[in-house]
Amino acid sequence: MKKLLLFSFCFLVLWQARAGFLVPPVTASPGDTILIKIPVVQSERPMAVGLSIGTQGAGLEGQIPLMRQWQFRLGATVLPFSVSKDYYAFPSRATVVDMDANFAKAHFFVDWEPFAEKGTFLEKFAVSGGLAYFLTAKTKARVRLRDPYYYGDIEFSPEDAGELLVKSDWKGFAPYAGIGLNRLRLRGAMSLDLGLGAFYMPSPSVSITGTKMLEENAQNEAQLKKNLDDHFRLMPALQFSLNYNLRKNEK
Amino acid sequence: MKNRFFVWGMTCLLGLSMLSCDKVKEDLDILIKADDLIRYSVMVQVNEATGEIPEDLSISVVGEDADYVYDIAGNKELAISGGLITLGVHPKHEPVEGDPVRFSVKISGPDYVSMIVPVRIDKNQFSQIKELKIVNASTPPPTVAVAKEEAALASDGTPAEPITVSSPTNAVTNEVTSVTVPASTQFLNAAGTPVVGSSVSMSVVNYNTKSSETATLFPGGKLNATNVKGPENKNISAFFMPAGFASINFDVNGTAIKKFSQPINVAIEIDPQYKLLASNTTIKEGDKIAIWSYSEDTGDWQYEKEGTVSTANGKLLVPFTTDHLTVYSIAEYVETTDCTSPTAVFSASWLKQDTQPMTLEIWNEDLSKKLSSETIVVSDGLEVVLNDLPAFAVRYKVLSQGAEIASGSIADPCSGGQVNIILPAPAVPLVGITLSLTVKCPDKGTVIPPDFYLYYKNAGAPDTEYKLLGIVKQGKLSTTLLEVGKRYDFKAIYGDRKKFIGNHLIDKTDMSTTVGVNDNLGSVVPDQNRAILIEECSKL
Repeated sequence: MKKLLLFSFCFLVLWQARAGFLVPPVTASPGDTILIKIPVVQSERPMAVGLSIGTQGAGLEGQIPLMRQWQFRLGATVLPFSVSKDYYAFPSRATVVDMDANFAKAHFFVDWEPFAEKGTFLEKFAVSGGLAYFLTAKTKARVRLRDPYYYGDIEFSPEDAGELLVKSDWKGFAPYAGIGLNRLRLRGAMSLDLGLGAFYMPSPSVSITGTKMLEENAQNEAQLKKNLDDHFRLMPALQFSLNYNLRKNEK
Repeated sequence: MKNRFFVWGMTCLLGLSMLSCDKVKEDLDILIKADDLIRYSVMVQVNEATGEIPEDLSISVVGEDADYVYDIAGNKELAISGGLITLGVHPKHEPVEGDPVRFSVKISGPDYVSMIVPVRIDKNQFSQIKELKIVNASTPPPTVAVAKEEAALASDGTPAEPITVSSPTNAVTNEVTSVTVPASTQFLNAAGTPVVGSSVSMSVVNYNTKSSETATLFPGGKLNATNVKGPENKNISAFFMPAGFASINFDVNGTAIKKFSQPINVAIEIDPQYKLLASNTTIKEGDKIAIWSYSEDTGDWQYEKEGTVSTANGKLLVPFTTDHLTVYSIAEYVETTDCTSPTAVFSASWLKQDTQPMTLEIWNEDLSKKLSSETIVVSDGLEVVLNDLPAFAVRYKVLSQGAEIASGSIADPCSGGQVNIILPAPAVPLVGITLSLTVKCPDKGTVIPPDFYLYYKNAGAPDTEYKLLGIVKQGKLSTTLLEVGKRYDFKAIYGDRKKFIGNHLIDKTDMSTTVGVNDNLGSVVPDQNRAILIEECSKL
């Protein structure tokens, strides 16, 4: 995955070089040394720091413009949350679920703004790629029966039946791709970035442990892992960043 | 794709929230481990005294812990099928040290002599087998003589002249029980209300106490009893040594007669070879012996009075009068109120991991009377509490497939302690066969089936030949009773369901089978089995 990311980055740089830079015609003979200069046009945009909030949680982000159409973004977010649900139905019985989740990541994104010089709203448009490292990406769900269980005529309360502890962890590197709108000016040195994309998460680890009458549910681990692998590797992300521009020379 | 992103983004909260995403639970279901919810069970196996399998029996449970007794599938409504039912104790009312679970099983049926059998389950006594014999009044064994007569009554519902009914004799049973109702006696129901009819149906069942079946046919299915109202109304436990007993039942217009307006005469002829406990001498005319009555409603014995042995027609009998009807016994007793049961420890290293049902018989010291018999699924190191022993020295015998393999004596069965029973290895080493049952539930995968009792017989043998193979625990049963290369019929009982596997070849020592909608569903009624499997799986 890292190789793929590196390759994509080089490809974008070369494409940029081919499309945007003037290469003078060269007449040369065999044996001459040809030096091709690729002029790097420094971006006039300022560096910026800001606060971000989104589906990945809240965090900090710094922007470092690199070239005219390129910028790096470095940042980190954290997202602790808890969710309770009184009715979560499985085929043969309903459950009550209390879930705690904790996500924390550091990310490095590269934004390419293909219309940076158009002078229209389109110049805000950016295509983003990058990599995040999820220091933690855990969910821990406590699952109990919602209704009593009946063995024949014998009633067992949900407490009698026990509890399931379902844990999953996506910790690791996750590449990112997305689009966004950068530098939507607010007031003074303040601007807003908007990004929408998705992370490709690592294959999660899964564990299911049950107590009392639910102890045999460990055999559901493989199926749960398959479901998470099949449907929960691609993690959508929507992020808003409120930035403070460090130099006020932006157009 | 955009739509997919949108849906996920908005509804799945990063796509990680398992709470709202149905994709997470695709092909998942919550599994309930129900195989050991009922840990304490009693398998009740009822055969007719002649060995036939009884049909149309009804079963109910009464007594102090009856509310906590279910069938092994957790059903409160009990149904006995083919003479078999496994009862279980509610998991929240299991026996604890010093507080066993107690209840009584009432079994009745058309033409059967009703029986009520007390059951006691001690802590750690997870399974036990009650083998009961019920008398079919139409086809009694020779050791049981049944008289059934009907007598006309006067218009006031009383006999115009004395009515006498006597049990018959046969080649095996020479003793007779006679009942005489004086003229003008009113028949009363249990509440004491006169029942008036044009005729009275009378049944007198006399039991031969010389028979080796005496213990199993004795009311309660055993000679020891608790909750006995002894002499002077003292509440005791007692071990009875009956010299004779009889069950007497009258009914008028279908109403059971329990009482009479005046005493009636009963005479129970007794075993002339009976030896008195105190003197070990044969009973004779003039000896005193107690008369006991047994409540078929509560299963409790009560001391009635002291009887005197007399002679008539060259036979010994104990005559007495009574104003109520029930089971009467002429019996000596030893008090067992303060007895501590010994524990039998079976050593049979040759069984390895296998089990084998064996019969443990208890006899009196001179081996003239069998006092009890029970089936025990023996494993090496098994410990069994020997309840219901008398307060005098006894001998024990262990039988494997009908042959005695061990015996010994217990000098004081009332003082607890340990009885080490060493079972010698058979001359020909036995091959252990492991039967393994895996159940695959639709959408739930592999589950462990609840424990059940498995019976077997040689393929094609009559149904009366079914014998207990053992208890299938956690889907497994290891036994030495089967032989590789032979075919057997198997019968499994779970709740009110009976399943048969016919003509099954044991072709290797590790026999495993998987039951599932896409696996083996049997060859007899696969569609029915599929429906049962799906229904039972839905409970897990």
